[in-house]
Amino acid sequence: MTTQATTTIDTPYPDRADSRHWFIGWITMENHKKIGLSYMTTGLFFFLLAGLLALAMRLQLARPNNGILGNDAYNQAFTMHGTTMIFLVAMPLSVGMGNYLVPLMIGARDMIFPKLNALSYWLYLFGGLFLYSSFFFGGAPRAGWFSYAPMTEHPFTSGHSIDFWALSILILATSTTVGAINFLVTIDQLRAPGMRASRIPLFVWMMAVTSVLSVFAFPAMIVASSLLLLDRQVGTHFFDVANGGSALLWQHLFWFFGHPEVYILILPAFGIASEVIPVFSGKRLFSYKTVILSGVAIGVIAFLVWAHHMFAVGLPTIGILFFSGASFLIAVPTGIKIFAWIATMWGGKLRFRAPMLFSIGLVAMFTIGGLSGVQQAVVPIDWHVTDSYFVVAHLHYVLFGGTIFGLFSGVYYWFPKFTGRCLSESLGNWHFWLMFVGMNVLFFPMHILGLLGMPRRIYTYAPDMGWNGLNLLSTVGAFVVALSILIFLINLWLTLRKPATAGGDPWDGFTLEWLTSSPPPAENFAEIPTVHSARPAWDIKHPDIADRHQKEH
Amino acid sequence: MATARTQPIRPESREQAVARSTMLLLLGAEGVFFLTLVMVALYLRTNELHSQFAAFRPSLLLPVTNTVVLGCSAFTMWWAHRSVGHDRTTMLRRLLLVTILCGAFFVGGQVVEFLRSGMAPWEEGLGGLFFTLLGFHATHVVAGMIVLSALLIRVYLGDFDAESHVPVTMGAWFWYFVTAVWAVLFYLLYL
Repeated sequence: MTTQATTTIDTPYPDRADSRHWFIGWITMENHKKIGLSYMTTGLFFFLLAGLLALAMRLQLARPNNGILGNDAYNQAFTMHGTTMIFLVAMPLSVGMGNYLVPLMIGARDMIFPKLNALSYWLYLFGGLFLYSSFFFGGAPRAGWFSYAPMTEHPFTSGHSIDFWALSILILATSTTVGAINFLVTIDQLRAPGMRASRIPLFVWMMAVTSVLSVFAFPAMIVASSLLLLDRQVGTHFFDVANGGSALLWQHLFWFFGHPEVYILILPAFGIASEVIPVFSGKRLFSYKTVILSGVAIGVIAFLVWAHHMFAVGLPTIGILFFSGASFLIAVPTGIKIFAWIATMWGGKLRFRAPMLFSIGLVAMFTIGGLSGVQQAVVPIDWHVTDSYFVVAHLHYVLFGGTIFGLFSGVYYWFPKFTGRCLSESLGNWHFWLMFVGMNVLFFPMHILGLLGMPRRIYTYAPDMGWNGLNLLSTVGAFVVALSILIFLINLWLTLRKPATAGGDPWDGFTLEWLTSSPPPAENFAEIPTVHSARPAWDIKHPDIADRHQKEH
Repeated sequence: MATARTQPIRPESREQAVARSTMLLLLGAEGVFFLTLVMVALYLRTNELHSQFAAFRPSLLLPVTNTVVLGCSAFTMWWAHRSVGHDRTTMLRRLLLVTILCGAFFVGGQVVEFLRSGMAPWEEGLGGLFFTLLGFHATHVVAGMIVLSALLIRVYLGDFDAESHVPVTMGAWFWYFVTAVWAVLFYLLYL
């Protein structure tokens, strides 16, 4: 049996008496928990950077004809904000959490390739620093996070900023692909005895689908970036219309990657919600296998919808019809998840602790974002709102309201496992409510601004467009969100100074990680347990009402 | 004659299963990579480069020779893999060496072919396309040669026998992949 000793050790790494300097220990790390924490800490740092960029943008847009950021500076701001949030924040935080938790949740001692795991992290850190170093070499990339060619070709974007962008993408793509292969082989090979597919935790399932998407979507991005670099450096003409190239080619390549990418961004958060909501409802997840299958379905359909980002470029009608239909279709499995989460909560013994608040917030906010998304599957509506603030509203509801809320839910939930301390519940509540209200004040007006015709990526606007009040409101919301994040940072700081007394299982959780100490020892489990249901920790703690005695486990 | 002991289809060890899954995922990613490049070629051929492709009539002698050589190298790789399954490490050594040399001939032939053709990557759309596709493929052939050379060194060190030769299997799979990609590229670009 595994031990549930309470630990009072202060550092997250009681794994061995390490007389080496901490820096050497970090550089040579191979343990998945250490790597996971490194990912998450670095991700938090980039989150704050990208958040500051967003505040700068919102300050600039608060009033018409403002003078805080000029047009070139503003272009760099939104490009770096988007690129950072997607590649240096959302993905690494999900991967970091996955790194820490997947081996624990499947009853393994580490990932299958610990050194490759470390390599993935160092490539991420290096790629991120390389991207930001562009500020010192003539300015950051400034063509948007999707860097449309031919605008990114030489006559149109001078300097090296785009080369920095493309090379960083190549480095980060390598990091992600290597990591994804690591996750998939780990999940396939290192499961505890008895953990068949229908008993694998939902978070692990979602990390698996995310990893499959990464393996098959990133190569298209690698091709796109390579061809862009070849055009810019060697002088080929892939995207150069005057010499036999195609502007649309970039869009196809990018969005063939880009659409699965957004599911890579949201599926881990869905997995987190699928762990948190059942625990804080005191019930099994409603229709467990259906939720698994809906995740797989989303993964498959994700590859069939990319051109819904291109409805306005002049595709043939039959193509438009196909992509519109597929985009409607992908809303179905997502809707199934929403209903499953609600059904899980229905009739449950609800505990509205911080992790649960953020997960419920995810359900509500992602529903709004999903609705604005499926509206854009209606092609005439898309033609009206494309490249307007309506899209900005949609993407932030799903990415902030979905991914970020999901990640915070996971942070509050698993923080005691990582560090042996629970984050302050009262500060957590302040954080949640301020962030929830702030987020809606920030992004909801953007739906209206988009419908009123405000385009994306403009650094200023005329005073007589009728956009002034909503922009100002949006900026106020941004600062409320910033305040909530400040509260979170204070919570982190204060909590890490407390002694580590949370114990192995502060939430009465269902999955295997709650059977270990907080933080777990280096080898995770003294003895790998045998699993008889989808809630193995619950079974061990409550043998009289264990799932294993119910049918179909 | 000893009973044939080839690698069974079902994994009999954790090491074999892990290696197989990892290599399949890697080849999956690489496959999508080359598939994307093929789609780029088809897209450009249909839309912009139609006339350039139609006018493209290269001498097929060197490309066909290269194809035959690479095809033979796939056969020698298969034979080498089969040899280690029968514990014939001398044959494994020789056949690995032949495979690597065939790969070297192929890469050299590709370089000669490209230089001889007079196509520059920057001059016209077709030149860039050929340079990119053939260049990425040749790079993967070189990577395969490095892997096979490392395996060859390990053969000399006595690391492999009939029961334990998972890295040889993985190297062989990678080589088959590289050959298969060439078959597709050859058909697409030359025929």
